[in-house]
Amino acid sequence: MKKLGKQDLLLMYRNLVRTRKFDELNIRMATEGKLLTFYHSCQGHEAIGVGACTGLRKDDYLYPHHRGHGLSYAIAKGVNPRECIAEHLGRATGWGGGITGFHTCVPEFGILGVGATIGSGFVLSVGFALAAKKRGEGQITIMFTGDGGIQRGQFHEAANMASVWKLPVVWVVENNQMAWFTPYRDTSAVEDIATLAASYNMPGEIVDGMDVLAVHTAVQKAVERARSGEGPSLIECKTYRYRSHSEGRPDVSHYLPRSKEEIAKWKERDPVKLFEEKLLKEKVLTKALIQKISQECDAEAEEAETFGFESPFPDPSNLSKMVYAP
Amino acid sequence: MLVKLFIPKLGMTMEKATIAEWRYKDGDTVEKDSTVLVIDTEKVANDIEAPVSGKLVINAAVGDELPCGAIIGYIAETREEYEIAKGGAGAYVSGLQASVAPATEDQKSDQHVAAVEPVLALATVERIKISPLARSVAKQNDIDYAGISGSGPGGRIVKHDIEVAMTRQAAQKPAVMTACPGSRGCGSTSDAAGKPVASIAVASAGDSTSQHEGKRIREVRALKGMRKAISEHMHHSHSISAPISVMFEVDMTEMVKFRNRLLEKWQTEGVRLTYTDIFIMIVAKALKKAPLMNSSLINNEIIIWDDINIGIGASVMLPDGESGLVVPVIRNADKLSLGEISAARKDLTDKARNGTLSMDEMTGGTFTITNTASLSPFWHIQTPIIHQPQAAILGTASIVDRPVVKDGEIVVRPIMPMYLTFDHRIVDGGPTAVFNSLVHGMMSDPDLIFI
Amino acid sequence: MKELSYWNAISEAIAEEMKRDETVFVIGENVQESPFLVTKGLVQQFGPDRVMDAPLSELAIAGATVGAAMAGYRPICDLTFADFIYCAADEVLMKAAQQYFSHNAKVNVPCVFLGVAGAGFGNGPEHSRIPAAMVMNNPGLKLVMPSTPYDAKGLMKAAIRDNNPVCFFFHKKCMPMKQEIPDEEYIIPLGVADVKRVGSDVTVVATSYMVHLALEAAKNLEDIISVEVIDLRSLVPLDIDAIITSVKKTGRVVVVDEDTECCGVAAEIGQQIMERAFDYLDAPVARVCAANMPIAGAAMEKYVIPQLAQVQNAIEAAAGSGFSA
Repeated sequence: MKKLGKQDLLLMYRNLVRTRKFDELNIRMATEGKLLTFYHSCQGHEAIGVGACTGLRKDDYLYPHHRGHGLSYAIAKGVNPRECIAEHLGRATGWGGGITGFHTCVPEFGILGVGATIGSGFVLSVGFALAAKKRGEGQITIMFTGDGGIQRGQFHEAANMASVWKLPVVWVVENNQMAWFTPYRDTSAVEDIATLAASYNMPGEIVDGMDVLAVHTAVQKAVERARSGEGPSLIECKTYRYRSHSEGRPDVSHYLPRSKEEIAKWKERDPVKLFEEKLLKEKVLTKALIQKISQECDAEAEEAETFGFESPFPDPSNLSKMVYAP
Repeated sequence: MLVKLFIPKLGMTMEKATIAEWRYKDGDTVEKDSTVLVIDTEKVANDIEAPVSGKLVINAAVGDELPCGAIIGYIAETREEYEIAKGGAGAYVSGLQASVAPATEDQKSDQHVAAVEPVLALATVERIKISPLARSVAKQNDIDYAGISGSGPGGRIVKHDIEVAMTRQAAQKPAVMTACPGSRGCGSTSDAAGKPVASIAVASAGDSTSQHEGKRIREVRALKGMRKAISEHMHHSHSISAPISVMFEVDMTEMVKFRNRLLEKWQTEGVRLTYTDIFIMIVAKALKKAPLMNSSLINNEIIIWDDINIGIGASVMLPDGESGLVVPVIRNADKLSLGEISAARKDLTDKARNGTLSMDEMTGGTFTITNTASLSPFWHIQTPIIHQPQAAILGTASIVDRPVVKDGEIVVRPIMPMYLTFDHRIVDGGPTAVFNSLVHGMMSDPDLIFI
Repeated sequence: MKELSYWNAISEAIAEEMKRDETVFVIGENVQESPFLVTKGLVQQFGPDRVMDAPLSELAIAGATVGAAMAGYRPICDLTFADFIYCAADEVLMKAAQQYFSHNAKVNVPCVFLGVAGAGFGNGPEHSRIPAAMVMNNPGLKLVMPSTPYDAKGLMKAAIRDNNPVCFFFHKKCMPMKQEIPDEEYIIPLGVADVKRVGSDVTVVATSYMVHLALEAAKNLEDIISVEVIDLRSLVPLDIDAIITSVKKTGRVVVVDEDTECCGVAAEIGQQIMERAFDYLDAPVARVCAANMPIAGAAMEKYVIPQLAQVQNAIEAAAGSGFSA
């Protein structure tokens, strides 16, 4: 496993902050009624995407989670997040060309596209991994989903198939303990998702999803296993969703408001703050640098917003030409 | 639904009809397909059947002469619709006032209709079932399709029906030019659905005890329907033409043998070769060589026809016991074999008897043959009347054994008298003699038919 | 020339394409043994890595197909029975059909969903359907339904080379049909209908096995009605021009489709005819489809699936009384 240098750590920190800032931008625009689509905030989840996607090859296939609509994953893989903002504003410069509102698709970074039914990522990533294995160039596939996604049939079919065929795929389940408004504990037969991996004869690991380095380490181990042809892995990142399922919806568990105390308790272990404190302690970061990064990220978000609003809408006359490939 | 009753257009040139009889009273409940009323056209009486069951609304009186398409009443399927129809149309709206051809969209938007039918305009009325293709073909060719019987699914008017109507119209064009009501023959012996008319209206008998100019009257018959058409046509023919009749006899010895030979050799199921069939063939061949006999004088022009379409005068017995006359036409008789002529003649005369001749089977003739053999088995002479607008008509009669002089001896031979009435306006004795000698030659020596 | 059966024509097309393009592979349940024969013998030729017997997991098979296609391969996914497309619906209807469009035409999904389709063997509601209307109703999918061995081979090659997901439903009743197949390579482009019989009075539009019913009906009626039979071969793309050209000639049309009538293939085709050839119609567009009920099995099947007599009656009814013998 490649050891992370100072620059790597700083980049990870910066990407955490960027993710947070861009998430805030999307929330603000959603609140202001500027978004032409809905938004599922990833606050609380940032460490998982950033930790897992740091250090991937550019040609590794990535299938992001719907939280943050792919922000933390794409950012960590090197994609300019202004494409995400433009997409949410329905502009042709968005990463889906302004066609779907939020789907992430940046093929040159290995992001071939996502589906919007949670859990389909399992079977599509089997396909990506199958292609990678056939190609034999050492590509792996990493796919992110939530604790809800694990409950669809696709997981079980994909897990069995990928394990049988030893496909190079890493599945990261971000267990934030809520699927829409229904808590995980009331819908799952098992306490820990990672234990399901044993049923399909693959490693299952539980990771602190608020700790970007812990995520990075666990994922890197699974990626190496995949690259070496040993097959799939399942990583469960324990995390928490700070906000409601999507912007503008009531923040409830079943039908009652979620516990403010519980949210506050998790926020004490905020992934950005946690990593910032660690890097401050290790003298990788300074207060001044933190401020500088914060300002730079604010500026980048501001620039992205301007970029988005100044971008043209897609030409609707092209729509009918996009149903079938030539 | 409120369904219109209107004067159907039963032939391309039919323009009007007279209400002969209502079989029900206003307000009566009528059953679908029952005869609601009888109308008289120029040639025949027609039953109008109820298209649906319901309450009858009568908007035209017996004796009213109305144009095709005129609304003569309604059948209301519900009490409410009956009230609407009565209220909207007034207590009594004469058919003429309410007259409207329901056929085309243009006519539907006609202001006149709107004024007469303020309430009815809101009610649903049955529209003519016609396919989009037939509608567009009709429009392109300026064919009024109201009243055309449909042969498509569910009686829908289809393209073929319009094409038939076009052929009919083309065939009738010269007749229209001479404004000859008889030859236009808009009467039809079939109703709108193509079924034979079940009954023909009989005019009410007059008071048998009454007198006229000192003569006691047995019966008074209205001049109407086919009688009226025949009457008008015969008078018209004599009033516009200069008819002259030529009579001659033919020794039919060889012809009788010829036919008997053919009868032995040629037997087709249901068709028995008649002398008329052979006469048709002979006349068609003679006309080819004497084209002026196959012509019409129309608007100061003598039109010599290329088509040789031979009409056959056929007397028919009408359901009221009276006789009638129809002239079905064998088209392009010169191009048919004897067998084909025979089959066509059989088909047409059967239809004439059954009253199922269509308009296009009764129009378009260029020459007529009338054979009175079956009417009078004895030796007789007649002077046929030209079927306008043709140039001539050939009459044939019974073959009767007669004494004739052959090689200085008096012998008995089967003799048939023949008569040709021709229009001296068009043709003189010379060409007529040529035609007659051709016919005479082939009649007396049938081998010449093939030369 | 050599005589090949319908299934053999399909397997030959797959083999030729696998030889030609190493990104082509077969994935599905029992594809090595191939109960419906169309992939039979391929494993011996191309090995298990390219003829992959998958777990009984339609979602994973279809999803893997879509994923591999997005990642640069040309998988042929054998759904076994076409009915099983319902099991894989999420991946076929939402992912395969829509990925290209929803991602701004950046990533296409070149794959084939193979399914044995249709009734005729009394197999009941879950093994007898041709889910054609559902496929047609999902833009992004193409749909091929060949009626003859020759067509099946040429269309299969076109389907494999197509840059889109193509549902290729082959009919159980056509399986034993044999035909001369040229030795040289040929491809039949998708979306080109074939006039299987020329006529002038009534057009019958059909696909798959229904083409054979239509041809039989046309033959039975040939003394009375001149029937033109158009085999669409593919429903998506739909060769509507061929239909319209024929309808403009005949003025009458019967659409025969083995799928369920309600919101069906025939309804769509009929509507398009109405939109484009209304003024040429001499009779209402008629349709003969499966009854609006699940496909009954065993002896009851024929009461649901279109039968010859129905096709014949519909043609006669469209022709009208002018054509009665």
